[in-house]
Amino acid sequence: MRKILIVEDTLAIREEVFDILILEGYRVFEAKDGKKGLEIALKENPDLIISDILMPEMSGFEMFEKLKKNDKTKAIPLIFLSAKGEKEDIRTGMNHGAQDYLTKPININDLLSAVEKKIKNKLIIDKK
Amino acid sequence: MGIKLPKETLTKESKEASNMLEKKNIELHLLIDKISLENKALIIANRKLTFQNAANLKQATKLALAKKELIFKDDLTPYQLKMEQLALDLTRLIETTNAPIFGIDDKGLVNEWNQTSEKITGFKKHEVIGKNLIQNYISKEHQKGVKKVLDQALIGKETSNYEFPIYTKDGARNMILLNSTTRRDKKGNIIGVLGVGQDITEIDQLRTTLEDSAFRLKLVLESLSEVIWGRSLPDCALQYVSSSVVSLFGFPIADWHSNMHLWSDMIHPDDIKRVNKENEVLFNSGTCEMEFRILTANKQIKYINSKVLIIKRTDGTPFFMTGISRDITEQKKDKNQLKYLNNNLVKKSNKLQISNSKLKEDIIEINELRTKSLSIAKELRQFIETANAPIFGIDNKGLVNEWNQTSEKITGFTKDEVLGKDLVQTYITKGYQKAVKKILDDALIGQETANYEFPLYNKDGTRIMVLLNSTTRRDHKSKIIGVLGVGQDITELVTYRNELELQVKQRTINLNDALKEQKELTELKSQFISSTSHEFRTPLAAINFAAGFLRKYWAKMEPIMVKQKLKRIEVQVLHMTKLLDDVLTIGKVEKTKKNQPLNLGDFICEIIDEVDDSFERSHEIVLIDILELKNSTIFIDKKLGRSIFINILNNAIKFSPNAKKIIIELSSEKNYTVVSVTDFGIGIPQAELKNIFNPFTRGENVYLINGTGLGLSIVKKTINIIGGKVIVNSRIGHGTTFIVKIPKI
Repeated sequence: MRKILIVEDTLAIREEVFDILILEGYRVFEAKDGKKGLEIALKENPDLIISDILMPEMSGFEMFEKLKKNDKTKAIPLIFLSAKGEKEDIRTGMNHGAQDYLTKPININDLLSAVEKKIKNKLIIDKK
Repeated sequence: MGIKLPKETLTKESKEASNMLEKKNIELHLLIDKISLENKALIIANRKLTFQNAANLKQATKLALAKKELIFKDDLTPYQLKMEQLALDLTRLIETTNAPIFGIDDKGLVNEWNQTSEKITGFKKHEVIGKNLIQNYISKEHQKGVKKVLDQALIGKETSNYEFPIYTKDGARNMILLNSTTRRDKKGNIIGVLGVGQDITEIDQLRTTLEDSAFRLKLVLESLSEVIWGRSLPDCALQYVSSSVVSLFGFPIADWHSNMHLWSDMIHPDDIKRVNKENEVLFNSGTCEMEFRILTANKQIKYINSKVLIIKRTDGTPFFMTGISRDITEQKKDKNQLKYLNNNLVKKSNKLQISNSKLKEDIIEINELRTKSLSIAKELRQFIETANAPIFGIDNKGLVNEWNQTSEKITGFTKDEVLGKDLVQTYITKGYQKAVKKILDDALIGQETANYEFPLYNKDGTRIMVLLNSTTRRDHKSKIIGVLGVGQDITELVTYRNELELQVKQRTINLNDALKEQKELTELKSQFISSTSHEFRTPLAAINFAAGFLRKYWAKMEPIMVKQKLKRIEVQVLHMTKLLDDVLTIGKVEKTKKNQPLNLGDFICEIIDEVDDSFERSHEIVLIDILELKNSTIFIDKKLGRSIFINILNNAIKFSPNAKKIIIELSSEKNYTVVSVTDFGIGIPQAELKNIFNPFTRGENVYLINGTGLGLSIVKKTINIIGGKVIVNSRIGHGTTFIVKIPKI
């Protein structure tokens, strides 16, 4: 069973994504900010992280940089899910090395197809 | 003038020559007159003699005839007696006659010698009788001539008026005019000659003198370049012409004598009429002078001046005309040249006159202009003198030469005091001397300065600010002669300006503040809009997920789960509605401000009741009013006021979920009515205090408490609009106090 970590400060979004991924058969972990997300990632080593960017305590970018610096977590693919949807925001996110950048509001199928693709890639890399 | 001089000289020369000629002419005429008079006398004397001679001869003939008759009538004694008496008378007559009478026989020997002969010759009768007259008493050179006369008479041919000289006994030469008469006997045989003489020695001498004079005169005349001529009248035959006629007219003298009409033929055809007219006049007036052209032998045209004089006898009949002609071609030429030059002069003079008249016109115009400019200058001067601005002038040495009335008034220095003084050295304060001097020096090289400010001290020592405009002063040839400074007393203006500058500075600061605020506001606004969009996306995303979930997993879902999803959608819609309301509130806040008097107690209590109701009286709200301000009146826009206190009170209840009490306290400051709201809730972290009024800012400790992050932003904005203040005191975990100050007026 693939593990996905959701890092999101807004409870409503977190709950919705959690519900969807559970139904799709993933094992889902939740974090309400970057700091918590980093902790869980180190502890659980998920196959994919879905993270908001603007969050209290630690932003998505900060968390991602820290993950990449850690050998244990540096290979975990990350998708940003943010309300900041302008071109510059997307470029900045991708430049950080994210696998994808999704803007709110996104429909459920788009979210799932992105998730599945990254998980598949992860599987291929893991097998090697 | 330079050309007139030779004309005068020429005229003078010609005049002199003409005068001299006239003099000579007169002398000549006098001489001629004298000669002709003497000639006349001679002729008259001669005639008398001839007449007398003739009378004598007639007498002698009568005697001879009488003798013959006597001889024929031999016997007639009385006749004989008469004859003898007559012979006696005759002999006495011959003896005593005033003329020398001599007789010779047919052999030339003297047989008569009267007393006058004795007297004239000095030889006595007895010495002479029987001697050969010619050989003894006639000078050698005349012997032949006299002998011929006597011989002629001896053959019956009588000679009258033969002149010859005879020498007296003492050697004096006497001129004798001789008339020879043949002497015959009674039978008519020639027996000798009777000579009746006349002593003309004196006449002869006179004539010699005359001839001599004539000769000398001729010499004089021949030496003259002028032609002197004389014609006898009325035949008009040329008697004399001086040799200069040849050089003047080109014809030889002989032509003049042979051709009487040469003179008139020679006159230029154009002038002949005029000359003839003059000639007619000449015979009436006796003299004339004329100028005409002639054609010389070689067809050269010459100008001639001719003077003619008619000489008349005592009875008035003209018998001689004489004249003098001279060549005036050169003079004419000169005259013509003079005329030409004169014409040129006249032309030039005309031109000059024209230009002169033009000049005169110009001068008139210039004078008019001058008058105009003078009046303008006068006006300007008046203007400068009375101008309301101080005007001064300096010469090119910097000395004052203009100082108008306003300058006097402003500085207190009179014109008399200032004139001739160095303006900069004397009247400009030390610190500005250099700069003012530079401005004036610049103007002296033609660079004018506008609006230079500098201070002056007047006579009383008061400081005056002057605004100076320097103008270069030039004379009519544009040469710089000084500087004219036009000033303006801006002392008041400067004070005013300084005040104004202060005001402007203050206002600029205010404006800058306002601008900064505005900028911040604009930034805030764009940030707010960006944030707002972000804030809307989040609930939208939640709704989208929930809705997508329902659609995707509908079949798998338990009804309770469907309900839960639908509830979540409703919650998100509600949140968005609240968000929308708040955003609209913020937008509205900026627009309205209508202050109205409100009872403070009523206003606060109304809000308390409202909020208390919405939270279902979860907290005890205590109102503390020590100063009894409940009944006081505040001036506030009611809507804005409510927005402030509802938000604060809402927050107080919302963020103190575990406390049960809220305290509202009324107090008063000098200018403000103060309302403070205190809760005992979670408090605000120190680091976030400064951001709490920014929109969409929520404390990290409010994670589980609903909110848009706009409430305090609305409060801050509203308080700013009513001109009040808000102060926040908070300790995390202990609670927060918001102190709102409402301005009293």
